[in-house]
Order: sequence, then C-alpha cells, then structure tokens
Amino acid sequence: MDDRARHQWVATHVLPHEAEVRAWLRRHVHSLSPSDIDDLIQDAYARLWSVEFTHITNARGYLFAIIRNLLLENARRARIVPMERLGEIEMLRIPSEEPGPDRRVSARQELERLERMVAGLPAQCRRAFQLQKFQCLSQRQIALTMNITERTVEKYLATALERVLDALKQDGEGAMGRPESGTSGHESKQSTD
Amino acid sequence: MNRSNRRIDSEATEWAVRSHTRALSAAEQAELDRWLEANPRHRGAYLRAGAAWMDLDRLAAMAGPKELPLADRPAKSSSPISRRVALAASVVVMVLGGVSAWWAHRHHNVYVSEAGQVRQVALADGSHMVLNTETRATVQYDDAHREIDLARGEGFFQVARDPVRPFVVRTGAISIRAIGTVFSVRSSHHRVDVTVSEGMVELVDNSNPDHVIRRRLGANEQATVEETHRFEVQRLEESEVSRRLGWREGLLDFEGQPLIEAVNEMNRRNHKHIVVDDPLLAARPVVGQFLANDPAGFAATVAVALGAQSVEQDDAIHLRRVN
Repeated sequence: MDDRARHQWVATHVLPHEAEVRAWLRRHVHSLSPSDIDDLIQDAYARLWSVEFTHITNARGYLFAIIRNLLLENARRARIVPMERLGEIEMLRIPSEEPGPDRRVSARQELERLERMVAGLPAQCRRAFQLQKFQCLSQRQIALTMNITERTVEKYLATALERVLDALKQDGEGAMGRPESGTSGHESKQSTD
Repeated sequence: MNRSNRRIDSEATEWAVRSHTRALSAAEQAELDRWLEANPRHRGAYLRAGAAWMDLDRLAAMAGPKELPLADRPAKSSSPISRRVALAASVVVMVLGGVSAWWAHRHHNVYVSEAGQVRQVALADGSHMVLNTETRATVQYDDAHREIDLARGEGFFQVARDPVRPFVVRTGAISIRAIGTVFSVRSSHHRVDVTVSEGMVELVDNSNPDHVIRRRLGANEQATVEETHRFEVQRLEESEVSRRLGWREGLLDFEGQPLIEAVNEMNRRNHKHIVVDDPLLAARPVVGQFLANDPAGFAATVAVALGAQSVEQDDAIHLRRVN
C-alpha cells in the first residue's frame, strides 16, 4: 500500500530531521512564533503528502528546501513585507552538513527518550500503549485485558502518540535529545562567500 | 501551539492509530478520506503522526525481546490472562532500561542507501565510507575493533590509520582487513569483489573452518570470490580501477550552494553547458542530488524548484527567470 510506504519513508528520512529544522527556524527567523513554526511544519508535511518520494535522495535537503519555499511564499503573500525581509529569506543558508555521528541522537538516547515518554504517561494509557507496541496485542485483546472499550484503547494510544510527537519537537531545544549547542557548529553562517 | 493545529494534531493521531493498527470500516475510511480532503494541514499532520507511529515499531523492535528477571508483579489480577499480560508489560519497561545500558557499551550504527542513492559517511575515526546504491552497512566501533558488516551492496572505504584498532569489512564468510588503504567491496548474491586502489588489504575466507584462505591484495588488484570459494585475483590498469570506482562520482550533491556554483560543477563535467541568464537566479540556492552526467535533467529539476524556465538554445541550456 502506497500510504504505508509513504509513512515509512517519512519515518526513516524526514522525522529524524524535524527537530533540526525547527531549531534552524527558531535561530534564523525570529519573527516566527512557536505556533507559526508548528503551522510551517504541518504545511511541509502536507507537501510531502503528494510528492513522488521515491525520487528524493536527499530528504533532509528537500525538507529544508520546502520550508524555505514556504517561508518565501508566506512572505510574498503578506505583501507588506519589506523587500529586505524577502532578501533575508533568500539569503538563508541551509545548514550544509548533517550533524556528525556523535551529534546525531543515538539509539540509546532514542530508547531513553521513549522510556521517559512511556514513564510519563498516565497509568492506564501507559498500559494500553505497552500492550499494543511491545506485546503486539490487538485493540480487542487490550480492551478485554483492561476491561475498557476498544474506543477508549484507541484514545489512550492516540494520547501516547501525541506525547511522542511533542517529544519530536522539543528535541532541538535540548530538553530531551542532544543539547542545542550540538547543532550550532554545523550551521553555515549567513555569508556571501 | 494554537488551538487549531493542536486540534488537528489530536485528530491526526487518532486516525493514525486506527489506520495503522486495524482495518478501517468502510464508513471510517470514508470519514478519514473526507477529513484528509478538507485541509492540507490535516494531510500533513496525519502523515507526520502515521510516520511517528511506524517509527515506534522500529524502537520497539530495538528494545525487545530480551529475557530479563521478572519483577513488579501486579498485586491483584482479575484473570490469568490479564496477569500474564500485565507481567509482560512490566518486563517491557525493564527491557528498555537494560537495552539502554547495553547500547551504551557499543557504538553501533546502521547505514542504508536506497536505489539510485550514493551515500557518503564520515566515520568517527576519520575514515570515510561511501555506499553505492542499495547497500546496507553496519558500523561497529569499540576500543579494540573497527568493524563494518556489509550485508549487501557495495562500499568504498578510505581507511584512517590506527595501529591499535584494525579496520575490518565483513561480508558473509569473507573478511577484508585493511592496512592503511583505499578499497571497495561489492557483495552480490554469489560473489564478492574486492578492489584495492591504494595500500594493501588482507582477504580472509572463513567459510571452511578447516581451510581458512588468506590472500594479500595490493594496489590495483581485484579479487573475486565466488560461491565456490575460489579466489581469482587479477591486476588492473589504474584507469580501470578508477573506472570501477567511478560510481562514487556519479552523483553531485548540493546543499544550498548558489545556482551558479552548481552550474559550474555540472559544466566542468559535461560537454553540454548550462547558462544562467539572470544574476538574481544565479544566486538562488540549489538543494538536491543530481546525476553528474545529465545536465538536461539537472536544469529541468532546478527550474521547477527555483521557479525558472529551462530552454535549449544554441547548443546550450539556458536557465531564465519566469516573470
């Protein structure tokens, strides 16, 4: 199913770069509120919805390019944006390198983060999540085991997933993953070299 | 986060969970389709949530299954099945803790390149690895070893000297030990090719424990090991070696260089030249990977990305701004 393949592709190639993109936006486009950044990210994923992803070999660069184009489109649409503002966005350099192996979030850190997320869930919600993801029980089995409705099981699972999505966001702020300083060395400065 | 994208995220997670964990009813599918159709941001949030849900499977696979002492039994269980399940669930948390500690000891990274992709990897010790299309390599470094496991595909290795930690590439029963070297290994179904362009490697075939075969290979030598485990070594011309390793140059990777620089890179490699007719356009950044020998494809792709127009004229390709 194409839908699954697309989700898998995004999971492998795009999600790992989301925190870096958010950090980059915070650092370089100061006028954006956290909510603007959330909107931009949703818009960026919306573009990925229809793109022929099998042709994309550099997903990270592609994600940055989409974000940059969205910024330009938004700036143009706003009209009142002074010319230098547009120029500024045009000048924004995409960080040239991926964080090195030591800077990338390691498998250990990922597992720790998951562990923390799981530990922070309300008890019932945690249990449903663990049964689903680690014991591979179906909604029906979980519902029977926990004596709740399947609908409630799904609510719990969705809550857990929301926490995961929040964690993805905070990553670049140093709250959970690598520290903020970890990426700054890899930014290319705005320059005309 | 404002209320609107918070609400979208929350709806998206519910849909993602449902569609990824069970079959949707026809009515649900129709409702999901309607919801997705209603707003591009719904699609974005759903894609992001679905991807994150699938990524959890990877993490879950990484965490489990490990036998660990059971603890933290629930005080009361209503039925035998629920007790068993609850027990299992408490094990999961411990497994996660155990695995974290285990991961801390070994540095273990998996690199995968997909069809048409050439992937450059800077390794922690200063060595350089390039993966050709459809390759999977696992890198394991510790205090005494540098090991690469090539499950499939082709890798090129430029090895940094380290007398304490040998650099070994394994593929199946074959291992190649580098001695300050530049070399490539290609692993297909029935054969392994090792090509050395600088220095020396030692090739070891361990498939028969009673008869381990060792062979040293020097610069411009290529060894082929077939399934029959016969070695065939041939000397190659230097030009042939560089031709065989030419795939490394097959793709040009731009990470936001000005268009004019990217065009110069392309023009250096091709007879058909690209001309940028507009200074503003020339300064726009280019992102992406391109076939080095396909200027027309490069121009067409870049034109779309930068809102330009690609026109072939007088034996050259002109990139112009559209206004």
